[in-house]
Amino acid sequence: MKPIIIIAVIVISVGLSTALYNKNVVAKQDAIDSFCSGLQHVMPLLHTNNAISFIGDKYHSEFYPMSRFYLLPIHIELYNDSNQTDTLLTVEVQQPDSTINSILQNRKVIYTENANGYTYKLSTP
Amino acid sequence: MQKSSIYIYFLAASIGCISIIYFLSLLLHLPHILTTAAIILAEYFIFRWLNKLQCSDEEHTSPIRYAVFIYGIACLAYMATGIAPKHGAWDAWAIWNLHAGYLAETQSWKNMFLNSVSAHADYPLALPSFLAFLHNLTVNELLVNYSFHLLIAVSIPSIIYLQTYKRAWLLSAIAFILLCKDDFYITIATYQMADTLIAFFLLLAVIAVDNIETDKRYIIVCAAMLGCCLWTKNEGAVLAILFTMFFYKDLLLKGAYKYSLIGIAIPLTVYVIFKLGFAPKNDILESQNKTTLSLLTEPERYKMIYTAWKDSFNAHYYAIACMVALCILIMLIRRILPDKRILFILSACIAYSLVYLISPHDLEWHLKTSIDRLIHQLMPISVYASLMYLTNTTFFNFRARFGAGQ
Repeated sequence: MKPIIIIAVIVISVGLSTALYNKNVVAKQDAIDSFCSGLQHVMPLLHTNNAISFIGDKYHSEFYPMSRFYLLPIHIELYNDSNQTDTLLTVEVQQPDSTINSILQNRKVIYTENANGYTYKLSTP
Repeated sequence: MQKSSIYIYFLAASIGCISIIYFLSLLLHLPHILTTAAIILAEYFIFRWLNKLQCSDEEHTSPIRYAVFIYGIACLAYMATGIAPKHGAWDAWAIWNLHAGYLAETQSWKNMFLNSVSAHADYPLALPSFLAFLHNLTVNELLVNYSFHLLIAVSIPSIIYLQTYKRAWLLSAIAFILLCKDDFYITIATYQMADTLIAFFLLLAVIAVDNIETDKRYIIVCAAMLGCCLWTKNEGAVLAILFTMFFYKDLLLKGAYKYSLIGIAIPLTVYVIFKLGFAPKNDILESQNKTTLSLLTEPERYKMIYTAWKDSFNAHYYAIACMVALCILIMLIRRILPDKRILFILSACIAYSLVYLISPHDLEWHLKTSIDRLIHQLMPISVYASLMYLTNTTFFNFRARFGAGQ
C-alpha cells in the first residue's frame, strides 16, 4: 500500500476528528471547567514560593487534584494539622463546611470568591 | 516490513526522541530554541536511518484494501469525538496531563516531585515530556492532547493491518474493522493516559522482532521500542524484561546484543537518571515487607484477581480472548511448542496478577481501576500475534495460495 495514501488518510482523519472535538466537546463546560473558573481569580494572589495548603469539601475528593491541576506549577499540599503553611486555600460547596469553618476560626480570611456554587477562601495564620 | 509501516515507526521514534531530548534539556537548562533545534536534527537522522531499513517494495494494491483501511480509520476517528472526555479520565488530568503541565514550566518543573498525595511522581515521563514540548509550541493544550492520543489510537490498527493484510486479507480486514469499531478500545484510547502509548511501543517491538531475519538493524528498532516502554510506564520495565526473556535468542545471542545495546542505551540511561535522580519511590515496591508473604498466601486474593480478569475479558475483550484461545487450541491439537508471542502475552498477564497479589492498596479498588487498562496494553499485541499465528496455519496458507492461484 502506498505510504502517501496511508499517511494522508491518517492525517486527514485525525485532523477532522480534532476539529469535531473542538466544536462539540471543547466548547462545552464540564465539571473541571466549572470548578476551575473560580480559581482563576485566586491564582494571581498565589506565588510559586508560597507554602500553600488546601482543604476542600470532605465529600469531594476531586477538588484537591483539580486545584493542583489548574494552579500548577504552584505547589499545594493537602492540609493537615502539622502543615506549617502561610496560606490556606479552602473550597466549599454551597453550604458552609463545619470542618473548614473550625479551621478558619483561628485564621484570617484575606480573600473570598463565589463562583458556580463554590466558595473559595484564602486565609493566613 | 511494509514501507508505510516505517513511517509509523518514525512516529514512535519521534515520541521517544522528543520526550528524551526535552527532559534532558530541562536538566541542562537549555533554551527552548536550542532544544527545538536538537530535536529537528535528531528527527532528521532518525528519518533517514529508518528509511534505509530493508522493507518490501510497493506493489499494486486492490482498491478494496484501501477502502477497508479508509473506512476503519474514519470510523475510529469519528467515534472518538463522541466518546472522548474533554480533559480525559481522572488519571489523565490528575497525573499525566498534570505532569505535562509541570514539565512545560521550565523554571519550576521540579515542583512536580513535591506532590505526595495521589501524584505518582515516580511514573516515567515519555508521555508528559512529549506533551510538554508540544504545549510550549501551541496554544490549545486540549486539542494537542486529544489529537496526539487519537493519532496513537489510529496508528495501532493501521500497522496491524499493514503488516498482516498480505498474509490473509479477509482475516486481517475483519480484525482491523473490529478493532477500529471497538467502543472500549476507543474509550480507553481517548482517556488520554499512557496505556495506549505503551501498547503502541510494545506492538512495534514485536513487529520489529518478526522482521529481524530480513535486516539485523530491526534489533536496534526493537530494543529502542522496549526502551520507550520503560520510559512510558512503570509496567514497561516488567514488559521489557519479559520480552527479553522470551526473545533472548533474537535480541542477545550471536552478536545481537550489540544491536540491542545501541537501541536501548539512550532510553535506558534517561530512565535510570530519572529513577535515581528524581523519582520518589514506587508505592508498591516501597510497601513490600514481612506482610508480603501473608498477602501471597491469601486464597481470597487469588479468587478476586481471577474473577476480575474473567469479568474484564467477558465484558470488553471477549473476541480477542477467543482469538488467543483459538491459537492455543490449535497449538495443542498440532502438539507444537506454543508461539513465543502468545506465551509472552500470557506471561505478562501472570506478571500483572503477581503485582496485584502484593499490592498494598485495597485490592478491589486496585483491580477495578486498572485491570481494563492493563488488558488494553496487551490488546494490540494479542490481535497481531493471533493474526500472525492463524495466518501461518495450514488452513489459511491453503486459502492464501488458492486465492493467489485465482
